[in-house]
Amino acid sequence: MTIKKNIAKILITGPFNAGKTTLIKFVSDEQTSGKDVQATDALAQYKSMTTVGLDFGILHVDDELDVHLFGTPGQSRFNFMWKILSKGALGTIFLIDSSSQRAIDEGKAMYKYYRELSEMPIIIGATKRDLPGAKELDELGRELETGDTPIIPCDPRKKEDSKLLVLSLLQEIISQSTKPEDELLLDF
Amino acid sequence: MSGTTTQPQPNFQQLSLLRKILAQKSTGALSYMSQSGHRGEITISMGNIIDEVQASKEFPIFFSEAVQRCDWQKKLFGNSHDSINPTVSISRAINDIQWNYETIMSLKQLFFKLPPVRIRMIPLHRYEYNDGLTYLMLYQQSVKTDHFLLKDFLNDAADSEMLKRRVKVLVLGYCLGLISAVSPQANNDKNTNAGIAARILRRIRGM
Repeated sequence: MTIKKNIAKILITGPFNAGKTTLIKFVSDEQTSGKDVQATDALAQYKSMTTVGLDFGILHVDDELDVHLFGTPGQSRFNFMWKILSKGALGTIFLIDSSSQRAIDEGKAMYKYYRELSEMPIIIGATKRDLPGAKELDELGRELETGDTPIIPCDPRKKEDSKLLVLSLLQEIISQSTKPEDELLLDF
Repeated sequence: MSGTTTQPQPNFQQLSLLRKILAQKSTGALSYMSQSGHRGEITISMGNIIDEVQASKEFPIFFSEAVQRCDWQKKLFGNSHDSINPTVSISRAINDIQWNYETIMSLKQLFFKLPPVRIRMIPLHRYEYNDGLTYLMLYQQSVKTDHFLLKDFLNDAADSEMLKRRVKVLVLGYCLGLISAVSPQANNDKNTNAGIAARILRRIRGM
């Protein structure tokens, strides 16, 4: 007998060169990477190869549930794909290179665009914090104008960091969908 | 009269009461008498502070010691009052608190009693809290397990200074409602977003 599996969808997005492909690799059981091609536009000076098309990963949760992780291309001209992919998604991880002013400027516009399109839970992963000039989390939040959206430092090259970021998104989804219990009113 | 008297446990019921008032967005006056005899009052409308100047004077005392008593009285205030989100006033007060050792240990023991909790992440620097890093550590530790006890977070403190910083973020997170109990029944519905997220969470923790 074949059991029909439910599919949950998580999006990984943000400006180019933030670590989206690497993050998906660490939290998937199967991964199909978008094609890496030589960057030919103005971004070529920052990154020699970039993802065209989608990064896609599958995480098998149990017999009844798979998670599909979609990494959208990092260039803002592909924003339309996010609009399509965001339908029915559980939430979004927005990765940003915190050492690149160009990425931050582009990220601000992208974040605004996403927020206007959807109210789904979103968290921000601040990457490349080991590089010179990397912004502190508070400064990054101010520049991106992300309000109360959680910003978590992350090095997607480390599996534990990648896991932690996805766990944080899931925790945010749970927090936003459930009413806080108040049995913590102890006899203080 | 003879015999020994037992020293009563320090009473920090003001924290629970403040948490409840803010969570329920209540309106009224929170009055208290601190252990050292200070009497104070904080007026609140729909969970927001009415008199910021008054609150900025009261909160440092309110948080700094145990209370002899603490009461909440519902009151109606006219529409002429502006009210502001209390998070900044509370964050500022907790930033500057200088607890003595006994107070830190008393608060620590109280947090030991709490059941497993989950932590809500917000960027506290927006509210002028100056130790976002300790809060981030609390949060990161919490998401790694489905049975996170504040006891573990406090016991991991390497020295008394770190313990103080940890107790501070717990007081802040507790009062603002960023720390909430994990209900055993919660997230059991497999078809809700929360239920699906909980299943994925367990899977990723096990990777």
